[in-house]
Amino acid sequence: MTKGFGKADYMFLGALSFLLLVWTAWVYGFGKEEGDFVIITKDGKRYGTYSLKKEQEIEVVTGKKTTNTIWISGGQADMRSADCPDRRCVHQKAISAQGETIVCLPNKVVVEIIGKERADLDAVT
Amino acid sequence: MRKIKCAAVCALLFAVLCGCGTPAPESVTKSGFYFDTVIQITLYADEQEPLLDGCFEIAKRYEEMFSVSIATSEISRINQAAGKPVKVSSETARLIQKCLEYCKLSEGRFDITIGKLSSLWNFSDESDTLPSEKDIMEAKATVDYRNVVLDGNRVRLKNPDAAIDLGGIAKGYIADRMKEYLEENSVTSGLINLGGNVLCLGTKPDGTDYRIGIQKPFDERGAPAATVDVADRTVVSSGIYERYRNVDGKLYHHILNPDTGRPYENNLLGVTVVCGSSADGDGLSTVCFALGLERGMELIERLESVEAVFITDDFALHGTSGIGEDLQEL
Repeated sequence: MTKGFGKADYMFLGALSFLLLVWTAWVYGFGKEEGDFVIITKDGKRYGTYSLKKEQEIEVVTGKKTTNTIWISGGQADMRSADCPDRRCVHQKAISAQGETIVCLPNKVVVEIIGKERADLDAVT
Repeated sequence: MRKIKCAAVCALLFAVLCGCGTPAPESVTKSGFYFDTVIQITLYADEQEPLLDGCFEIAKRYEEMFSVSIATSEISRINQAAGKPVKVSSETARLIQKCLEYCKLSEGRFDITIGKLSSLWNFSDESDTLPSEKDIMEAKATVDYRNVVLDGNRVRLKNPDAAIDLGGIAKGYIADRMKEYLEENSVTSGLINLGGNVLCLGTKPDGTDYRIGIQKPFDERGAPAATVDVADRTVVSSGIYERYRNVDGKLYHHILNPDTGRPYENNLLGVTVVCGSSADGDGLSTVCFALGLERGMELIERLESVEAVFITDDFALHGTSGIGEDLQEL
């Protein structure tokens, strides 16, 4: 207990760092699963759920104005156009893995990729 | 010193790992296995948890009354009585009464005396053989709902070889009874799912509709072909993909035609009915399947506040006129 930092401490820390690294890699890298559906929410409310496997264009309409256009193709969802001033959402790259999002802050539009098991369904019949 | 370091590292690790935790759900759910299928009930308040047990007691009680795989059930006793009258509970009598109305309405396309035929085909086992022509003809001859004589609480089968099987409607009936029970106990939001008979109480607690997926035929269980948004309704599906066997490249499914003694042959993969009562949904989905796309569609269009979605063998979805934007194809 009198020694400050011994060999055992280094080994312990080394092992711990390694575990943390593996876990991080798993979560951010290998853990990435391709999604099945795209959920679009506007102003915190669900706007719609769409298949990621089907090529389609979705227009988010507020009143009579299309504020955002989302393009789904080749298993990816991309913000194609938006009428917000900064257009950051349009510049974001296309998303395809579960949990990935594109957010348009000014228009309060969120595009999220989800898997089959949580396609926002309450039940399946 | 080491203890401090250790604690610091652990705290760090804990913080990192917790970062991706999900908030605790506000709902209570209970699952179980009844009527050869998984059932699940969800309520949206912790204090309602004891009512889940109440629902499961209802499931158990009715299974013991109606199941043909329980030898002591009231239905089994009728089937074993060789034509002699059997005294049953008023609940069983009530369900048989309701079933007979369906049989009549559907002109025998839905027939509860299908028992001999359904046990002959027995789609719950894994075999890959087909019943013989002779056996099919013999079983088919026993199917005729007009042989069921209901006199108060006494049930008699005029044909001693006939057998009742309520499999096509019991789940719906039980779902309706569970809903009644929950409503009597002041539940305003909840979801009953008896192996595909989905019944929603009111809206979700936040006032939004429930979103129910319609199974994509032959895909992984739980993978939806479409979704339908409902409140205070039931969503019931009958599909050839639920129970079937493949013999020599031909698919034999569990929806049997009492006229031929064999599975119905048409271009439908499944029918989903959206209506108020789950027993109605059971009866109607089977009848619609038997009628086929066009006539089934006509029937639903004639009925007040009943909608349906038909899936044809090209995987196309056909919704009735009233379903509108509640149906969303994926």
